[in-house]
Amino acid sequence: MTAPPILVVTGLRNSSVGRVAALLAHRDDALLMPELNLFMADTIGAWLVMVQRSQDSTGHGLLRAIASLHWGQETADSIAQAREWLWRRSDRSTLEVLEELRDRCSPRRMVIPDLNLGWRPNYMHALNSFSGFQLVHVLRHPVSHCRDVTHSLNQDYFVAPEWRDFCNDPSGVIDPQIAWYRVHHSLMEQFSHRGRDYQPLRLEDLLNAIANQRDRLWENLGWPTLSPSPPIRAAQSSFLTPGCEDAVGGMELEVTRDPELTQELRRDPRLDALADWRADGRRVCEEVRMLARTLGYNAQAQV
Amino acid sequence: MAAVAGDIPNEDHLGLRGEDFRLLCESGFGDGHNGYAHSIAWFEGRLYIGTTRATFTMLKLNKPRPDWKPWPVESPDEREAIDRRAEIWCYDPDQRNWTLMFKAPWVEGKKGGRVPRYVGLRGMVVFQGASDSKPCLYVSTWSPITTDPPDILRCENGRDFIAVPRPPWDESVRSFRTLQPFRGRVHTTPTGSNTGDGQAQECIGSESTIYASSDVQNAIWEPASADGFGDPANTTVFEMATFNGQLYAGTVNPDRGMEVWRTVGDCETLPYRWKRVLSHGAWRGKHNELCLSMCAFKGALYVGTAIVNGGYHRRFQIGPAAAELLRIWPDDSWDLLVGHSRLTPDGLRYPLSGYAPGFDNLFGGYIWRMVEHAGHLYIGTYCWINMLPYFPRHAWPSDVLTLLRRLGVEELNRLYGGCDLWRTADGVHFEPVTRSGFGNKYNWGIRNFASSPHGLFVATSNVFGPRLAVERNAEWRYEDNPRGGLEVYLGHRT
Repeated sequence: MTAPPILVVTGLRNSSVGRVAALLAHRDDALLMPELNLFMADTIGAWLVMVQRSQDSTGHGLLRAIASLHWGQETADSIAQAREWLWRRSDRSTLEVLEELRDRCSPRRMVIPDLNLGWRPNYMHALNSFSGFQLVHVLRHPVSHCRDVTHSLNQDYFVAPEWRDFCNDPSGVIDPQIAWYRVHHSLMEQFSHRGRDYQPLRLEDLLNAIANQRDRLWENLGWPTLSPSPPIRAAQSSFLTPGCEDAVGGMELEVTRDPELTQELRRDPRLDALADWRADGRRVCEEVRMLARTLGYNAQAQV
Repeated sequence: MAAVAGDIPNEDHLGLRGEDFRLLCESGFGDGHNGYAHSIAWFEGRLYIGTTRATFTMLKLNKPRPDWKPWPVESPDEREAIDRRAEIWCYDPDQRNWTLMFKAPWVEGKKGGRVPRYVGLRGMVVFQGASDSKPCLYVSTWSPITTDPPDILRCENGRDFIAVPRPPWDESVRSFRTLQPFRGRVHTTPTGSNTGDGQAQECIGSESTIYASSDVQNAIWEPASADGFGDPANTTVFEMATFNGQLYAGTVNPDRGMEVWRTVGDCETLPYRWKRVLSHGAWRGKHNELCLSMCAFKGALYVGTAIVNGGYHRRFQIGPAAAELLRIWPDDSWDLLVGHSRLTPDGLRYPLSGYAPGFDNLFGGYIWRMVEHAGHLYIGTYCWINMLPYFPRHAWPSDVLTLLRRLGVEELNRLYGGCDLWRTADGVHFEPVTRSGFGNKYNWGIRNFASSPHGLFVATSNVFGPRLAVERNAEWRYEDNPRGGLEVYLGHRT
C-alpha cells in the first residue's frame, strides 16, 4: 500500500503555523507531528552535528516524534533511544528517514509544522525532492504580522539577523517586513507550480470562518470528505505540550500555551500604513505591498 | 584575478567535492615562511605560483602593531633576520614536480645593509603587449620601504623573470596587485603603501588611479581613471574584472563602504568614461569597506566584499564583520547572495542563498577569490577563527562574545577552524567543498585558483609556519608546525 503524502504546514513565526497544523490534523486519518527540521541537512549524520552545535532546540521535534512513534511515549529513555536510532542512520539521507517515518505513520498522513522551510533555497529544494508531499503556506497581513513579531522579538534575549534591517547600520534595526517578503516570496516561487499540492492560506480568512475554510482546504488537498465534519478543535497530541526534560521543544511556545485557533472578526490595516515597528517614520516598503496585493490583501483597510 | 585555461576535464561539470582534491604542495614548498600563494597563472601548460613570505614578521614591526599576545608565529624583532625574498614556483603536471623558477634578489638597502628587492608577488597575468612577440607572464610585486618601489616582472620563456618599469606612481606605493587585461591593455592600481616609520598598509594604496598600458615591456602607462573616481574617500581601487564588454573596478572606501564602477562606451581612448554601479558598500555601509574579489559567471559579475586586515580594520576600527557575496547584472541591477538583509534605496534585498555573511560564519572575513571551472563558480573564503587565542576580546560585538562564551575558543577552533571553499551552479544554491581548509585549520584562506585542463588548482594562505605559539600547561611556547605554510591542491573528478 502506498503511504499518503505528508502535509507540511509552513509560514513565519507568530503566524499560528502549529495551530493550523493541529487543526488540519484533527481527523482519524491524520497524525500531527512536531517540527522535524529534517531539511536543514543532507544526511542524518550532518543533521546530528548541527543539532549538537545549535543553541536552540532545533532537534527536539524529531527526537520526540521518533520516541513517540517507536516507543509510544516521550521519556528520558525513549528520547535517548530515539537519538541512538538516529545515530544508527547517520549515513542515510534525511529524506530517507522522513520516508521511513512516513511509512511508519501510514495509513495516517503526517501533518508537520515547519517554520524554517522558506528561509533557505536548500531546504525548499530538499522538500521538492521528496516524493509525495503537500504544502499549506500560512500567510498573515504584513502590517499586523510585523507588529506582532516586533512585539515578540523585543522580548527575546537575542534577535537573529534575519529579522533586522542592516541598511547602513552595522547592528541592524528590527524590521520583520524583510523576513515577511523573503519567506513568502521564496515559498511562492518554489512551490506555486505544484497545483493543488500547494495551498496558500491567509490566516485572516481562516479565522473569519474556521470550519468552512478548514473543510475547503481539506477538499482542495484532495483529502476524503468527513461526515459529519469534525468539531473545530486541535488534534489531541502530546506534541502540543512541552516534551520531557530531555526534549522540550518542537512546537512554538505560543502554540503549546494555547493550541486552539479562535474565530476573529477580520481587521486588516492599510497596506500603505506606517511601518510603526521602527522609529524612523518609514512606510511599508513597495516590494512588501506588491507581494501582499498578489496574495490577495487589499490596499484599503478592511475593518 | 584567477587563472583560467580551456579544455576542462569532462567529469568536472558535475561539480568538485572535497574528496576530489589531492594535496600537491605542503608547508610552503617545504619552507613555512611561504605563507601566501599570492599570485597564480596557468602559462604554457604549467602552473606558476608567486609567494609572499613571513607576513607576521612584517606585521610585528608595523604601527600600530596589532595587540596580539603572544605573537602567533615566532618572529624576530629584526625584519631582515628572516629571508623574506619572494619566490615563484612552477608545477609541471606531466612530471608532477615543483621547480623554484625565481627568487627575488638581495639589494643594497637605502639605509645600508641588504634587503630583499621583493617580499611578495601579488598578481600574475598572461598578456601579449604591443612589443611582445608572444603572450608573456607578467607579475606584480611588493617591495619594502627600504628599497625602490615595486616594478613588474616579465617572463617570456617560463624561466627568466626580468623587471620592467612600474607605472608612474610615487615612492610611497609599495605594492600593487591586479593586472587586468581589457581591450588590448593591462590595467593596474596601487594596493599597498608605506609612508615610513612602520606605517605600512597592505590593502590601502597611497593613490587610487587606474593605470593602463598596451606595451608593458616599454612601460608606456597612462591613467585610465581619475584618482578615486574623483572621490578621495575611495582610497584604493582594489580589484578589477571584465564583464559584459566593460572593465569593472571595485574600491576601498572606509568612509561609506566600497564602490563598484564600470567603463562606458567603446574605451578606445584613455582615460575611459566611468559609471558608478554600486555605492555605500551595496548599502551595508562600512562593513562592506572593500570590494575584494570579482568574477564573471553565467551572465553576471559576482563580487566578494570584506573589511581590510581580514575583517577588522585596526587603523579605522571598522568591524569585525564577515564578508558578503553580491552579483551585478549587465543592466547594473544587483542581487545580494550571501549577507545581511536590508531595505536599500535600490529596493529590498535579502540573501538569495539563505546564508548570512561569511556563509554563516562570523569569522569569515573575506570572500577572497572566485573562479569559474566547468560550469560552476568556486568561492574561497578567509576565516580568522584560529587567531582567537591571540586576540584581545574587549569591545567585541555581543554576538561574537556570546558565541565565544558558549563554546569556548578551543571548541570554536576545532569546529570551525580553516577556510571554506564553496561551489554553485546558479548563484543561489551553494554546496560546501570544504569548510575546514581541506582538513588543515591553519589554511586560513583560499588565496588563488587556476582552472586548467588538469582540473582546478586551489592555493591557500597559511601563515602559521614554521613555528607556532602553542599553549601547554598554561604556558605559551613556540613549536614547529608541520602544517604551517601555504598548500596547493588539485581537484578533478575521475
